Amino acid sequence: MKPESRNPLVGAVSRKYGETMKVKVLVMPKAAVLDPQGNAVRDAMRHLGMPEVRSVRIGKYMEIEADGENGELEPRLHRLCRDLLSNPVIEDYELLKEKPAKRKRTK
Amino acid sequence: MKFAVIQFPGSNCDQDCIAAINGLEGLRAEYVWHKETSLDNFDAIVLPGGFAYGDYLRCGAIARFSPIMRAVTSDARAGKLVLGTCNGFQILCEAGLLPGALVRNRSLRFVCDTVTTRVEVDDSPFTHSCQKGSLLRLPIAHGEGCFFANAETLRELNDNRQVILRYTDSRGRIVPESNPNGSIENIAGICNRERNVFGLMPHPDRASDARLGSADGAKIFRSMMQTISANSATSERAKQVA
Repeated sequence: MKPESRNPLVGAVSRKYGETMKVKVLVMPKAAVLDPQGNAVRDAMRHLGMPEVRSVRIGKYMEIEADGENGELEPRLHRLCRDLLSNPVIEDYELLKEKPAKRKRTK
Repeated sequence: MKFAVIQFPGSNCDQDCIAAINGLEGLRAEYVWHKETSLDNFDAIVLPGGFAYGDYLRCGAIARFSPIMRAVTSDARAGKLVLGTCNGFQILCEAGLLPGALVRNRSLRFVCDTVTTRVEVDDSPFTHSCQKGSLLRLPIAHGEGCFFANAETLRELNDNRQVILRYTDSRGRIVPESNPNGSIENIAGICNRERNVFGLMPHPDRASDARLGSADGAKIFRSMMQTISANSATSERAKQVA
């Protein structure tokens, strides 16, 4: 008997899906939106010996893993980026894909 | 006349809203859990303040997908009065029922204070028992109450007289010092183009009893009540004519 079939946790991880899609989502405030956090950090950097700093913008960075095929998931991910992960009134998002990697077999 | 007060996980002004509404003669308020799907038995809807879903991601971002929001949206489209205070305002913006968005206070601080707001529009369903230019003393308590709208949206808000309340000093002047959170043009509350959805950062629910320092907030609930009874009288008459 293979060890993975004895361990329910291992079984749960090695699902039927062959591929995992990894994406990174960057959400940034639009240029017109005031970013007081960014301004506070910019000022702190200047105070800490870097007067060259002109601006700092602070956004959000998310790492997402999903089981399934890249092509099928992508439009749905974009939809959720627009509806949930960002608010188009104040933010822009960028969806960065990693090359799909074959899931390693657990021996 | 029955008002629904929606309870999201993390709402914390739901009891204040219930108490404020039930304190007015002729009004009754009931809690509605966010998993419910119908608001048919209610004459108006109130989205209370708080931190729905912990305000994770953005304030109101997750709450707007709660099952009850479908009913809130369809009832709002059908003309029912919807009031969102504080977190409720944030949820209405995220849901697209009101234009613009609420972002982090310019000071980066949570502000807890009593502010003066000026009634900019006295013929809205929410403020017609107030005079134009009159001042309402209302409490605020928020970290993300800075109202933002792009130039085009802002112009529409002004052209259509959708700005209902602005932050002013004690004499009713719009000055930067009276702006508690950096809101664009000192905007404290707006309504939609159809004028039946109203969102504001201040808490009328916490200012509906003189013993708490101000009863100005009750004017908003009273205006809603008068609007609803006037509307139902009109539709009764229309039925009789037909």
